[in-house]
Amino acid sequence: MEGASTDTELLTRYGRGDVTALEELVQRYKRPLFGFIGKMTTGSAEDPDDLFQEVWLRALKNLHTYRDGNLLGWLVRIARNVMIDRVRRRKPSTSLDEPMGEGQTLAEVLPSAQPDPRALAGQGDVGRRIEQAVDTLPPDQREVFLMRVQTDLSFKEIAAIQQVSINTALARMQYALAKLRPLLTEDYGNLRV
Amino acid sequence: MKCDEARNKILLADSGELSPRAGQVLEAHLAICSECRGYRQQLQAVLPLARQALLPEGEPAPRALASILRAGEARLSTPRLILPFPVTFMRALALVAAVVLVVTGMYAWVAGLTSRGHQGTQDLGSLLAMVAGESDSAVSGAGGVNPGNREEHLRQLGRQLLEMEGLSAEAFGDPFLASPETEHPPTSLQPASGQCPVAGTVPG
Repeated sequence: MEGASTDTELLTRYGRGDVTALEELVQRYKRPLFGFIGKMTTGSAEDPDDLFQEVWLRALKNLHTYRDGNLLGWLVRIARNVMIDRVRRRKPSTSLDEPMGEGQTLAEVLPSAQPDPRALAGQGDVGRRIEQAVDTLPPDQREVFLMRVQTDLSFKEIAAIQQVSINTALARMQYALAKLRPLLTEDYGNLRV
Repeated sequence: MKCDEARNKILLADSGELSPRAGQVLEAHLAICSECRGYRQQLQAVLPLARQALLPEGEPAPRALASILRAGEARLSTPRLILPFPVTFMRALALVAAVVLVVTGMYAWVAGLTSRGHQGTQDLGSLLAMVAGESDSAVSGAGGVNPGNREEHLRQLGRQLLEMEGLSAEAFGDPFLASPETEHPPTSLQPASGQCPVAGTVPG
């Protein structure tokens, strides 16, 4: 039985004019990449489809800079840059302290990013609670957690993407795990992460 | 090993980034630290759960995938400069070529200067030899020396020496060194006696 082509083989085939090789690559990484984008943009107005498309378009444009390695890691790095660019482009035009009428500010009107712990505790599905707990993590920690757990990048790759030391990436992961602990202790008794 | 360090190493072991040697050190710590052993067990329970929970449910819209493939096709149809080597290598090659060009140019410039210097020295040497020979002939009374030639040779020698010092014979102001042509410079372009300097008489 013939094994699946490696990323490098597919990129080489694409470079020779075979668009089906590109399609295979897009299909291969669409779920982890789309999942990462989706989780990183939870609660924002960004369209994950639009971001996913932009990531690949940027990847195609810069394909000559890709060095043999982890293609998914490279795509995640591009996704991160695309998201940062979007945030920078979208300058806040409204202050959170701005009165919205009836004596309330925008900050009070907007739903909190932190889910109600009682609501989380009421969820029967542990997986769903983990997912929601991840959404409450600060961006840096959430990013590390998702890159490690969802896209299976190594800490070395995560550190390179975040442009921090490997110890910082590890520390962010430890913080993220520590914040998940209260949500998991219920299910795992003496679980102390 | 401290517990914080051990817990980082547990994470690194999970990601396959721990060396065998570091793995042995970690195992030695876990053998004596029940807290860290418990941490590892908990992590081993939580991470698969989290992986399962975070499995992406949705997929990108077909229009997004189609758009990517269209862009991929368009990129292939665009003529591109195909480099036989990586860009970094080509840049290094260009740098080396630029350095070689500059060095060659400087060498050629210096060599040209030296060669001109040699030429000047040779001219001066031959003039000196000529003047010296003519002087010897004049002293010994030997015939064949034209006094006019000798004077001209001396004049040339003097000019050459002045040029080497960056001076011109005219600026130096010695009437002997002044060339015969410049002894009586024309004072006006208009001929005084109605004579055309080129065609002889003015017609009419």
